[in-house]
Amino acid sequence: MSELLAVRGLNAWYGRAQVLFDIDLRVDAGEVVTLLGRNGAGKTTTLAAVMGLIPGVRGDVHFGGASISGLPPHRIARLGIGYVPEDRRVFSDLTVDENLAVGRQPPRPGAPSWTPQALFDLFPNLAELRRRRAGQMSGGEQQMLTIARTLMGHPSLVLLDEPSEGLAPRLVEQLARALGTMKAEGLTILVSEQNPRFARSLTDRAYVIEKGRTRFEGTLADLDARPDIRDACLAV
Amino acid sequence: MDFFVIQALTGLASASSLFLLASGLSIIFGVTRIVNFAHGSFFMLGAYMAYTLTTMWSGPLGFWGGVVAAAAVVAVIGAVVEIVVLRRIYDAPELFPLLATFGLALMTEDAVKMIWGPQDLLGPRAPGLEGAVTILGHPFPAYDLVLIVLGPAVLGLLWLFLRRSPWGVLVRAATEDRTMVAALGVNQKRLFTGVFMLGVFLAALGGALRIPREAVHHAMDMEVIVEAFVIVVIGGLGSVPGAFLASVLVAELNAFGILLFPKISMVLLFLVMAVVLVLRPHGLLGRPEAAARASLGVQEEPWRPMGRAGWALGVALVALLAALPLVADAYTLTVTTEILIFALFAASLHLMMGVGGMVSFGHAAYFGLGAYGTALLVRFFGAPMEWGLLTGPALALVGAVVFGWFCVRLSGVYLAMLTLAFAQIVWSVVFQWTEVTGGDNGILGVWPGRWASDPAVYYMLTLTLCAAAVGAIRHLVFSPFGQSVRACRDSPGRAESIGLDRRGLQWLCFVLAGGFAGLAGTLYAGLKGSVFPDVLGIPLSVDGLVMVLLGGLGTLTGPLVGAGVFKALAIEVSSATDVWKLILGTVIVVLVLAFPEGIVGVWRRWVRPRGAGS
Ligand SMILES: Nc1ncnc2c1ncn2[C@@H]1O[C@H](COP(=O)(O)OP(=O)(O)OP(=O)(O)O)[C@@H](O)[C@H]1O
Ligand SMILES: [Mg+2]
Repeated sequence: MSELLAVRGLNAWYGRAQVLFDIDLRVDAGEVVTLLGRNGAGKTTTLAAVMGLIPGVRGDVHFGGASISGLPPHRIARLGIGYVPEDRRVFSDLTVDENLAVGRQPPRPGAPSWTPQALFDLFPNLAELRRRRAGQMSGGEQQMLTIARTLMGHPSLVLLDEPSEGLAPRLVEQLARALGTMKAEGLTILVSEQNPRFARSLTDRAYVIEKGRTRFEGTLADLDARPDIRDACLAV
Repeated sequence: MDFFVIQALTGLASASSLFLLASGLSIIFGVTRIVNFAHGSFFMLGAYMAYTLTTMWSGPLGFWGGVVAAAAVVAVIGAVVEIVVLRRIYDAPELFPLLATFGLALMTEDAVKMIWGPQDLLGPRAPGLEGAVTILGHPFPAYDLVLIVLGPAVLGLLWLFLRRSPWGVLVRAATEDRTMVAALGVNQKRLFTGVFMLGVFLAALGGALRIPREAVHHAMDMEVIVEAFVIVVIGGLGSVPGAFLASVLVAELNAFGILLFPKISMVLLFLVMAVVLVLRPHGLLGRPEAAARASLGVQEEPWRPMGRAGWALGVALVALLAALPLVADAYTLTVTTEILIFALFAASLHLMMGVGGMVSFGHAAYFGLGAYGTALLVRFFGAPMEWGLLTGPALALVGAVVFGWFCVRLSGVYLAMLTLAFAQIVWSVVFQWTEVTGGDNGILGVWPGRWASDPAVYYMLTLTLCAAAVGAIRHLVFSPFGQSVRACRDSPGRAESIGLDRRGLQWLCFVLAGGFAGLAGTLYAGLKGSVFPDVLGIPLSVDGLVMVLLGGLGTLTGPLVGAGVFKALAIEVSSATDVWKLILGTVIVVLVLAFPEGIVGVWRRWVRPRGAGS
């Protein structure tokens, strides 16, 4: 499989406090890779750094073979990386349709392309709410909307930051199914989670980070064989 | 009754031009978070440009075409300004763009004088609309009727544009969360330029439409900018319908205030703003800003007390200043005294802004109260000015206690505007209460007693008091009180959850800052020997902001350096040339572009670099 995203020696700072130390990551085309870690481990920082949203970073990020370090976020997005932030940053004043319109980009050769109709099939709840203002939707519906909005840009890689956080179990299942469809369409996914149970069946490989350092890399089966890591670094 | 109707209609006609101005300001702020101080300048440029074009072209087409073309030309100028200046500093600390736009406003004022001359210009009237129509038996200008229709029409167009066009949807999205819009692949730079152009176009159109009603002159910018801020804040930042409502409110207040309450006509506007903000902290139609999203990856450097070297340097500087009377002449001493006073003024503003996190657009209020607290004592009790060293700061403290109580209930730009409102209220009271304050004629003869009448002695008195006060501010910053206030500034929620009384702490900080400013004002009164309403005016508040921002907000040294540089520059440049505003404005813009962290911030970065990765 070909390498789609490669992160090498990523360091990040907030002011003078260093929070990431030489993070290495690799995501191959078509894979679902899970980034595991406790509260404050550095998952959000890692994903935001890949997206170019953090000024204080050093390290190498390659996407599709080309370096994207130092590019502004909109250029990175246009190269085909979709970003779904952890705190559901929907545009609360805009309707569902308008939220989707903000995410719209021209189709990208080689990446699965999405129409609003396809997205409403993926997230049926949204279909009835098209004219609803996003601020008046439930947390779960907003989570669906942020993902759908990102898919409107036809990304080839999606960075999903803790998508299941705070969702009812029924919605978590629905979300996992949607991820399955996305993977089946050929989308590559890097998803951060605190708990390896989410989307376990979809996950090809996982990384565990703790206090800003990579502590483990391998399949979830490998991880099961390492109770020390599980107990020390994960909230299970 | 009829008369009231006519007056109300006149108000509505003024409201239209105000609305164009304010909606532009509001849209620009909403998306770019820039408090565009130069917005009044674009309004003025629109008027001048329209004057030129409409006198050159004739006929209805010439007039209306000239008006629209003028706005378009100014919009292009706006785009150039955005690309050349503002684009480089969006990531700089919050208020830096404000400083840059202030510099631009200064430049424009002199540039306009150079191009169009200093005299008032009367533009043509709109062809076919020169006359009056009769309404309820009274004549009413036909052009005003057109304006009355134009306001709501533009509101409708803007509404449609923001709701229905794809670009409008992006603008609304970016008003909420511009980082997210960028992460979705939208080029922020282009969006910002576009928004800025639209805002400038509206402002310039507002100015252009004024020419048939009043003469064009080079002080228009400052006249309208404050009104525009007031409108935007009353209406709610970023809300276009809010701007419309507030424009009508303000225009009607202007139309009726002078008739119904001539005594307090000038206070009225600011009184209404203060009431609105106290009742609705986010304006009439504004919504609370999403709990300030700590932007990823930005964190303040922790503050540290000066090392031993710093102390030594401070002591050496004071010693050096104390030796100045040995070598300097009276003029130099007087100038240096003034600089010292403004250093204290800037330091007190720093206490409020940098430490307390409360931006003030009206810090002159406390400076002025200090000055008047002294002057009134001299005038009514014949006491020498020294006694004012007690009454001046005391009056400033009282003002700060009252105003601060209201202000700490707000935050961000709203708080800043409320401080401005209070300052303007005080200014208007002083200006209109002639029997007590002497109004525009001021109070003269505020001299210190004979022992301090020598410039060298007064200089030493000032140096002693200012050094002591700055030392006290320094001490406060690193005291447990200062640490608590800074905790409230950085994360209000967390500070409150660990049991800090945020409002109480900020209030105390506000009051202390006001007291120190009052001391500066007192010393200023004694230095000049007279007090005029200027000591309460907006220009002085703005000067304070410029000094603090120029030096850098992050350290106490910053404002001191900023005050020294700014004041020295202002005194030097204004005595050497007629176009000092142009020069000063240029210097400010260049400094902002070159040192987006302030002079002292850059010093720290180069001389003592710390922290990696940034
Ligand atoms: N804006 C910020 N300023 C300063 N420090 C920050 C900031 N954001 C995060 N941090 C710190 O950086 C570290 C990594 O945070 P990050 O948000 O990346 O963790 P996370 O793994 O996403 O945690 P969570 O599971 O809670 O979302 C934490 O120690 C956190 O306290
Ligand atoms: Mg996180």
